[in-house]
Amino acid sequence: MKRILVVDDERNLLKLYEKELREEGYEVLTASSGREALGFLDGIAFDLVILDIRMPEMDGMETLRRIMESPSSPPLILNTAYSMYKDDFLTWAADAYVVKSSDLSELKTKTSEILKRSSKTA
Amino acid sequence: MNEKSHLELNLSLSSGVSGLDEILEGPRWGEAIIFHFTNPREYSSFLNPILPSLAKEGIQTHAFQLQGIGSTLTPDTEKCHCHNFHQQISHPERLSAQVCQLIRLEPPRSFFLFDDLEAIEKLPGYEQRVVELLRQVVAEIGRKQSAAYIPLSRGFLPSAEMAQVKDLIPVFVETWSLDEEVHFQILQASGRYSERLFQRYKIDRDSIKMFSVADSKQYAGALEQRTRESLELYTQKVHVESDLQRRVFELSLMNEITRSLLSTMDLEEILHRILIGVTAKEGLGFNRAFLLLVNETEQVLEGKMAIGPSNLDEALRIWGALDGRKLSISELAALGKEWQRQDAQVNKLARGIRIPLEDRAHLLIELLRLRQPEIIRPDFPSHLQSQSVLHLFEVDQVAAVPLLSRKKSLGLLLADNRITQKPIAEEELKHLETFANYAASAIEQARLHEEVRRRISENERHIRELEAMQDRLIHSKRLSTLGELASKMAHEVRTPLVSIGGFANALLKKKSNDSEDCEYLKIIVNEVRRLERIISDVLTYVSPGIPRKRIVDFRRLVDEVVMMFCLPLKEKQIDVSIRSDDSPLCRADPDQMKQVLTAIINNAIESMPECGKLAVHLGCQQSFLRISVSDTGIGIPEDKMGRLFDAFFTTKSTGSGLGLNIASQIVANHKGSIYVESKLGEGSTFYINLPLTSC
Repeated sequence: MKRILVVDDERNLLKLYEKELREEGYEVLTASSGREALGFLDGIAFDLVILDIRMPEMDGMETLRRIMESPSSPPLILNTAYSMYKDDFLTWAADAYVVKSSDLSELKTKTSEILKRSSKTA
Repeated sequence: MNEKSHLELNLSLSSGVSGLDEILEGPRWGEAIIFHFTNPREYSSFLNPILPSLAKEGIQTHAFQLQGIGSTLTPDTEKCHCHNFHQQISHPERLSAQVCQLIRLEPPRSFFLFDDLEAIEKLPGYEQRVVELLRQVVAEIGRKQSAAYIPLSRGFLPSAEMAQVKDLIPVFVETWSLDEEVHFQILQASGRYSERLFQRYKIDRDSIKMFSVADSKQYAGALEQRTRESLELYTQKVHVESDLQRRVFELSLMNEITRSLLSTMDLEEILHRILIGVTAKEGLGFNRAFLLLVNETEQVLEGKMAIGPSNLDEALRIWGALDGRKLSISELAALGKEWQRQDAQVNKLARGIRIPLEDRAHLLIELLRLRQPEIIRPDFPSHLQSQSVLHLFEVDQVAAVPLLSRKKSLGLLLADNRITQKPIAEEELKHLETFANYAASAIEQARLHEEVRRRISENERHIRELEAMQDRLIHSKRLSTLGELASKMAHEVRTPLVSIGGFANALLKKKSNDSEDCEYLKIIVNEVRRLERIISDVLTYVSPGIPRKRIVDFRRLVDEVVMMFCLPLKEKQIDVSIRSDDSPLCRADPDQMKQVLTAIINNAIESMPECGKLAVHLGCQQSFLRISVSDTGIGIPEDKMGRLFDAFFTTKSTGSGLGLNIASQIVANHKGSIYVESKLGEGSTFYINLPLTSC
């Protein structure tokens, strides 16, 4: 079973993503801050990280940079309410950029695509 | 008493004119004699001889001066007392009172010599006042038994008043003169019965001679001569008058042209009036007039307008209608318009004229170049081509005058007498030149006017553009402030919407399809989606991203977008067909293109009631990819078509009014084009063309 880490400071959203992705058949862990996420990543291997950008303290971009520093960094989807970060070249390092929507189909499609791709390469 | 004075008078009073006393039986005391004269010399011929005889008799003589110093009717002041009544000529009553008082104060048997009463000013009612003056003077003379000579020039009093004067005057002498001779006839003399009295006499060197038959003949001859002379004068006068009339017409034309140049009257109208001036009887009186103008852009001399009758019948009708009517230029111009329509022939002829300026051999072009007025005749010296011109106008003579403006030829004014065949005089050519000058200055003025107007409108346009730019600046500044706020809000709203819509969707999956909750949840889900679309539109509008292009499979993109609408499509039972030629690939920003397609497909779905058809077609055409989206919806009214892609324009009660505006902006950023065809009640088709190469 693929393991996914969802990082978002909005608890309601975490609840939603956790539930929906679990229904899709993934093992889901949630972190409500960048720092917490990095803590998880230190000890547990994930197949995918879904990361919000706008967060207090350490924002998504910083978290992204830190994650990327590790040699065995997992694939990553940036999931944000802002589309403007797309112009930031750092975000290009992510495997996908999804603008938050109540319709989770795009997020789910991207998730399954990336997981399929990474399992092929693996 | 009367008889006695008569006797005395006979002995002592002489007229001084030898023979006159015999005829008149002498002037008598108590009488005034009127000399009705034309030339002052006639009165003098009686006046001057009497002075010495009065002096010899020792009779006191007074002269009443009315005309001031230098009057020819004032006798030698040494021989009589002069009284100046020059100041009273505007007050006949005052004059009368003073004169009568003087007569009264002087001893009886004084002699009074009057100046020409014509000096009295012809103020209203002067006629009766003069009669009254004479009445009082005659009465006073009678009362005082004095005597008076009163000259009265012909025409000073109207006939009614003359009759009254004759009634109250004792002796009335009619005088007139022919060359150096003075003639007279005594018309009335109270108490004389001589046969000789009423014959005609002439004064010949201070003596009286009877007017003989030979005299009569001579007189008649002189009269005839005089009549001939005056007839000649009259002819001259008529000539001068008609010349004057033409001048007046010319001046009023000029006045009108000047005025019209200041007013809004257009050039056509002015030129028309000038042609009227050339053909009107009061003007130059030509039969026909043509105006040819140089067309600078096409480098030709072309017929602009013409007036004049096309045949004798028409000419007679028009001239007959105008005969004896005095019309102003504007009235004539109105009439001219009336028959300009019937004038098709001259105008056809005029408009048919079109000579290239480079055709230097053409006589009219040469005249234009020479800038000389000419009468073109068959024997026109310098040119063989005069024949062809004359043939064109079907005449023997044409007057041609250039329209000159600052040494530049603007065109030609032509005039002929096709109907009357009257030869054209050199003098008429000169007059025509005057009219041509008016036409030239009118054209020049109109062109300047046009130029000024063009400049002004250009300036106005610049100002308008500047203002619009300023407006846009202010607008965009406001928008950017507004945009920041909107962007902040939109982002903040987006997150809770994800929770609401997401959980509603999660609940929806758990419910059986027909439950009431299911319907409500669907509403929540759909409305949240709509809000999200609006937010996304607003955000894109506020800060449109730079397209990040890569190869996009548009078939897949369309499938994805249509998928997003699967719910409303299912609900409205809309039939979807997607057709594509193989590999509809194109470099584009996939996210932005998704937005374009979302806007258009959303629009299509919203325009359709239930059971519509949505057809998307993708195809490569030469250098671009064409995406067409057709619906069977209500269509777009024609008046809304133009504003369809404007921001905040919407016909719907929902929606941001930004979708299509953003779509068109994105397509434009991709150097593509977007347009729509629509039929009311049948549906619309949106076309997107994206270039395949340069992206």
